[in-house]
Amino acid sequence: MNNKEAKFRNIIEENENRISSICSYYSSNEDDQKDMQQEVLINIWKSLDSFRGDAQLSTWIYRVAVNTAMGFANKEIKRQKIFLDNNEYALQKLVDIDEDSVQKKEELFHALGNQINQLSVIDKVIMTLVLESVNHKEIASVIGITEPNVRVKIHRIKNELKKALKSLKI
Amino acid sequence: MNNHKTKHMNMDSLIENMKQIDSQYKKVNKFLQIVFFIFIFLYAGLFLLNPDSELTLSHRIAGGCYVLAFSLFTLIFRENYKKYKNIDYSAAVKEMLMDAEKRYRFWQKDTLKTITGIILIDVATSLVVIPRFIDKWEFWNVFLIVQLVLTLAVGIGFTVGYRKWIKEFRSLWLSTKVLLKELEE
Repeated sequence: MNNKEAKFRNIIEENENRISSICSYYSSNEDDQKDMQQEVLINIWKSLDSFRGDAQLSTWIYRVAVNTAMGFANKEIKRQKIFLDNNEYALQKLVDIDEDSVQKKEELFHALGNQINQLSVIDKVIMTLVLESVNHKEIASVIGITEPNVRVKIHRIKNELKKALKSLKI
Repeated sequence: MNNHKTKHMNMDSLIENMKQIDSQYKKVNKFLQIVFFIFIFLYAGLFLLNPDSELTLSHRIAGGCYVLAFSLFTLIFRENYKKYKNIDYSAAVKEMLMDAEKRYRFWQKDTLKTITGIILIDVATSLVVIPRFIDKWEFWNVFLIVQLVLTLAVGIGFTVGYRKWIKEFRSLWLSTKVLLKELEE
């Protein structure tokens, strides 16, 4: 086994869950998720020589995954849709839920999913990273903007989502 | 995390596939380089190294122009190939967008090199063709016909290239510009 192969195996073994999780936001079904995972792995392999440890490995993985999801190699940058599992934990990160009814929660979640998909491409990418509990510093490094800029964007997106949900009276 | 299900992959076959991709890149690159080098050596042999006494100074200069033009095209190809092969997916999204915006522009830095190559081909073809017909036709007539044919060929090439760019890359280029603007807001 050569060096590149060993390094690759090691990275994948340690980050399989992270890759799988980030891919799940960008695909609606398991087959598409698997295809995207394969694509991410191919791009990790292709970019492996450029990993010198300057960035955290997780940041590096997120960059490859997000860039793959955005489809830079394709003929069209994807107007990506984001898919959220019915996951209350993720939902709590974006808006405060003060709701006990399961049905209400589901409605809220559905509306939130729709609202997130109204966001611009970059905002959607930022939201997936927020949902992944990636810290602001790391998000800044993935996107290539400053940390204060990330904070401002997240604050604005959350406000937009809250306003939209309020106007829907959910 | 959105989905904690771990979907284990078949690493061995995956790595095998990726090694194949790597070797395929190398093969394609090698093949095209060989084709370009054949052209360079062919023209160098025919016009520069050929001891035939009928070859005039014009022919020798034309040969030099052809060899230079093909060398330039080889260089452009190699640079483009590297640019597409080495897309670094681990760059920050903004960096990736800036690179994509440059990569998918219609007017590239390479355009100047391509125009130089075309001018060299034009000079070389004129130097080879004009002396052949100078006895039968006026110089300017032959010169204009050569220019007309070459302009037509370049025009067709340009139109095909532009249409291909409109069809395949324009929307991508516009999207990158929109996203970059969005990042700066």
